[in-house]
Amino acid sequence: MDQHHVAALKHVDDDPTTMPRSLDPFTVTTSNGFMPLQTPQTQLPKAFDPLIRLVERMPIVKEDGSPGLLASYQLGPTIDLSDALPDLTDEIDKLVVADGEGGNKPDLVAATAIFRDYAFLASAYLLEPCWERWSKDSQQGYGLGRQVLPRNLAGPLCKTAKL
Amino acid sequence: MPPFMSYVAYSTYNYRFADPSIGTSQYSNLRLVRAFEHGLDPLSSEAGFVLTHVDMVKHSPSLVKGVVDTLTAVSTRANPSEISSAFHHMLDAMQLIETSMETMWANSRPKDYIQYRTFIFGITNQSMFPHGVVYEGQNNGEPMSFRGESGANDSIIPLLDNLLQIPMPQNPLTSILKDFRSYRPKPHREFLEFVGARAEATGVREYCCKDAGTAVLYLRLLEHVRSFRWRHWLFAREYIIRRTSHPTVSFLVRIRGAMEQC
Repeated sequence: MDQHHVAALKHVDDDPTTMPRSLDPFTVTTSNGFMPLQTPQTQLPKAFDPLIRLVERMPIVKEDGSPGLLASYQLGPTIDLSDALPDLTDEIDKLVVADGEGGNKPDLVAATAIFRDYAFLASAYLLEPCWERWSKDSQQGYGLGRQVLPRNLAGPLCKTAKL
Repeated sequence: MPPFMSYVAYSTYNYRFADPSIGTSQYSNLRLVRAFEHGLDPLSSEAGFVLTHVDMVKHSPSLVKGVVDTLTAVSTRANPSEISSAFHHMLDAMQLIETSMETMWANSRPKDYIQYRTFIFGITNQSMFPHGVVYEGQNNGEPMSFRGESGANDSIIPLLDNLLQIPMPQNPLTSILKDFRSYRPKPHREFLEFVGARAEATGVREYCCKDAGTAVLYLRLLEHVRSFRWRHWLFAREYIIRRTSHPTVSFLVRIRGAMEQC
């Protein structure tokens, strides 16, 4: 077997509960299969509070049953016209865990959770105008989405995607 | 991973438990972390659509174990009883996965899909994004385009395609399926490539078909791949094709085209 294939099997018999956060949560083992090694992370470091607050306000119906930003097509204006979501790209570099050899490695568990949350916001931002047009009159089709993803969404989304 | 909503971000990295002590063992204990529409209500169609995927994938550990054991058994030219034990792991897992898959109809009403689907479109070849999307500060300001999330980005069926050495024709559908590979998490991609390469190198299909008992097990597993794909096609027909006039159902049109060739 070549090196590439050895890497695919390196952790296959390992116990997910003992595996470090620097490993990709989708590492394949006979214990978790194609599920993540840990239950998906929902809490993030304090610096990401604005992200969590915005993604919680986003859905058409929020957790508490009240209408969220997409219900009145206000997600885009909230991102574009307020300071609700600062650019947190540089905060992602601070998400590290000790590698056991005196150094640090990226915390891929936190990075995956952050990627998920930005992916939801980015798709909602880009497609919100399509949702508005379609929900007002589905015969009119989807129209155009937003054609530019702003820096405060694009930066963290691209950075976590690369990790 | 491409910097866009992926299957795992939408589904298998998007669940939590109502009661952590119960875990994934009961479907009714699953909740979404994030949703676009009504998905934070666990009884909504959006929650059902996503969480049924989670409920299926939770059975994948036995499948992975069966695949690893089959590859070891074939490469060491083990006797049929060892291969049989590995296949039974996979058959049991596929039985559970398909039973779970069938609950999609009850968990998520087909007529509701078109609502939350609005938010899972991609930005490749879509009328809403004729030139893709500019990501500010990225790619020198040039637009980028990515495919939308799809259950076809899941790894279960590609795993069995690769293990069983199922040959694929060259057509527009299989070229999209190849493109889908880059939308899986890197460890899944590497594992699938490993399984495909080892199955080819050791000759899984040929070895299993030498013995009548293991040949039957091989065919039974193949039958699961067929029935899974058939049910997935029914989902596509009932949840999407019957409900939309949006012209860019290219992937589905290609499924239909490919099926008509068969």
